[in-house]
Amino acid sequence: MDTIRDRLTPLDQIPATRQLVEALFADGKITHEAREYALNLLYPARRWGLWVSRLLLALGVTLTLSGFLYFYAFNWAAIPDMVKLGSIEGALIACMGGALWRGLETRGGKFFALGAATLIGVFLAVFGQVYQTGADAWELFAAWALLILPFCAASCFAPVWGLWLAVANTGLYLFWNHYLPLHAHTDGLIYPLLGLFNTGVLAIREILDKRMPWLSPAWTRNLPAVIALCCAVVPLVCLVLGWKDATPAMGYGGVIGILILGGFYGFFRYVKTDVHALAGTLLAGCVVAESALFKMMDIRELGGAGMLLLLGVATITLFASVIVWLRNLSKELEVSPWMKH
Amino acid sequence: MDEALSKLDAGKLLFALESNRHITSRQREQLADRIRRKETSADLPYYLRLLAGIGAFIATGCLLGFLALTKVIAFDNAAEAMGWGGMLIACGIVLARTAAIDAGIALHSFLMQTSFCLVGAGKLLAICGIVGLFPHDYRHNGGELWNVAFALAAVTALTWPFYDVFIDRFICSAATLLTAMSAIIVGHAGSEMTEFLLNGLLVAELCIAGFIFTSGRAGRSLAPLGYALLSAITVIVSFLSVDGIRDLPFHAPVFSPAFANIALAAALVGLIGWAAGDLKRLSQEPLLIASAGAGMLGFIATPGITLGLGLMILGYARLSRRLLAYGGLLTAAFLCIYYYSLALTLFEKSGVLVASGLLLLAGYGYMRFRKLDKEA
Repeated sequence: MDTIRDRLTPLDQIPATRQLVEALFADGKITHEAREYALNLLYPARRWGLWVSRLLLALGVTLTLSGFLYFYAFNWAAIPDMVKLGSIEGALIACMGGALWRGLETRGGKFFALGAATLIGVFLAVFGQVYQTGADAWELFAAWALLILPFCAASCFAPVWGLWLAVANTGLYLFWNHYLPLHAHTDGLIYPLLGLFNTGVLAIREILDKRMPWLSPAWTRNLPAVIALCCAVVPLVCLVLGWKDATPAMGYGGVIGILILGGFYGFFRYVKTDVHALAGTLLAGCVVAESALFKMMDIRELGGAGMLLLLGVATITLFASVIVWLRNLSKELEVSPWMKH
Repeated sequence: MDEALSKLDAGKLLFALESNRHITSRQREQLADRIRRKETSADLPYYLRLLAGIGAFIATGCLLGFLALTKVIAFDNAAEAMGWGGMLIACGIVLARTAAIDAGIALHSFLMQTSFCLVGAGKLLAICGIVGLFPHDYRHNGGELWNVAFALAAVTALTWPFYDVFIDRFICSAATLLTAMSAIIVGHAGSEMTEFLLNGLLVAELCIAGFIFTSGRAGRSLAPLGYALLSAITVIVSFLSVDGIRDLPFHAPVFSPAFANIALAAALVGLIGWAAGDLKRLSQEPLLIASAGAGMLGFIATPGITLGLGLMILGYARLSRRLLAYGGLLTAAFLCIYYYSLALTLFEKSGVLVASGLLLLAGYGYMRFRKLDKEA
């Protein structure tokens, strides 16, 4: 039988760290010279210099820019509209120029593109304030999301894509609140809407990630996946707990929630196996199952105490089963590299 | 295990030591075996630990609810609560040991969750019992809170050698430290003793955390206490730095963060020396400048900024992504609070911000000029 104690971590999976060196030295297993050599190997003095200089640069730029922001905030009323808009436009043009100058394939150029994408939103907000365009907040976010789409495509930089996702989600939420105020028949439909939107974004990401290596960081998958899962779970839990008073909107939300959870399970299990994404999906499923158990074990019928004890045992069994299944799956992936994506 | 930034693995490090004749081939094999045995534990990957933690937390709540509703245990009877608490803890420990010795994956997961649930409920009962033994009026010197803190400390210390679960040790240690802090603040409201005791607690926490994170003699088993200490230090520093938090009815208005700031700055200088490999190296030019900067922070900044920078250095020196991120977040948050709470107009603040930003950029320029920013 495979027991926990049998499994020793392979040496190449143990990172060499200062703690490891210090522990060997403290136990008298290596000499002072060996410790010095190992620490110098792990932390070349030059690398510290580089790290400190980058820290100084980041803090220095942040504080200086914050100072300029305070200056604008202090003098906002006194600054002529032309200067307000002109300075933002100037900064926008400078960022775009910087991106072209450094080239979008360089790190500097990508950060310039991120700055430009942010300044577009600032410009739209100030423009709306100066000219009193009467535009609603959702329109601002929608326009912002639309205008920075080319930046996402051109910069090939995941943070710009993250900014776009945040702006688009906010725009969608504001649009829903503006045009469809909460009534019984629409109450809660925002969740499936956002869930479907983020699932769609995730689907595009999954189609493109092979051709676009900049989409490979795990967070570009995790961010839309977490939003979609949360938006799938909320209507499902509401539906389970308020089954008797469920509105059609809750029903639609529940159905879409099940489809999202099922889709995630199928995709991350069979198409692109990802244990982390599966763990998130199963956690969402466990939350729904717990709600259902709580609802089923009616406190008045079984008596509060009995219900709680049963619920406790059921909870442990449920979570332990999920953990076992995931552990077996990750073990299976370790021995079957062809399954990895 | 913390997610490390290191690209070098233990095997390569040992080979490097051997090829430079710091160790022999036989020693390398012995050290490799030793490292592997120390590293291997029954810990699950983080996403499974999260799942297990959530499940065990819900189950603990259910178990406590069951005990309360059935009135099997009289919570107000100290001896009974302690007895039942001890029994539940013992059962939890036995289950954990069974899981560690010869359980397969499925049984291990089930047993560990049940064990965590039993130990959690048992500890709560034991603490209730101990507190009940020494009834105290909380209005006088935070008596009841001190009772809780001592009960927590006693239960944590007693179970520490027998129950090796990171999250359990971390939660109990952090709860003990935070309860002690609350007892000081509530118990000595309005008295000058509050500041004295709070500073004393901070210094003690800094010393113990310093030992745990920088000494090779502190084993892995102390890591949960180390992280709990960092959490408690953050809370004390927040209390001292954020005016809004201190506007509580029991707040003693005589607090000054000056002592805490100097203590943290001194710790920062020590940390820089440790990160350099030896305190004696502090006399070298770049480290001398860094230490002078740290010393200056002790007089002009707030404790939060000094703490954040210290954690970033600690995180980088230990190649720990989590500590680095935590330190970065704290630095950013406390910088915002610092500038926000400056008693200046927006116009003056903008000047201070630009000036401090330019000062840091001048430091960056100096490092570039001296070519200290080039990777070898």
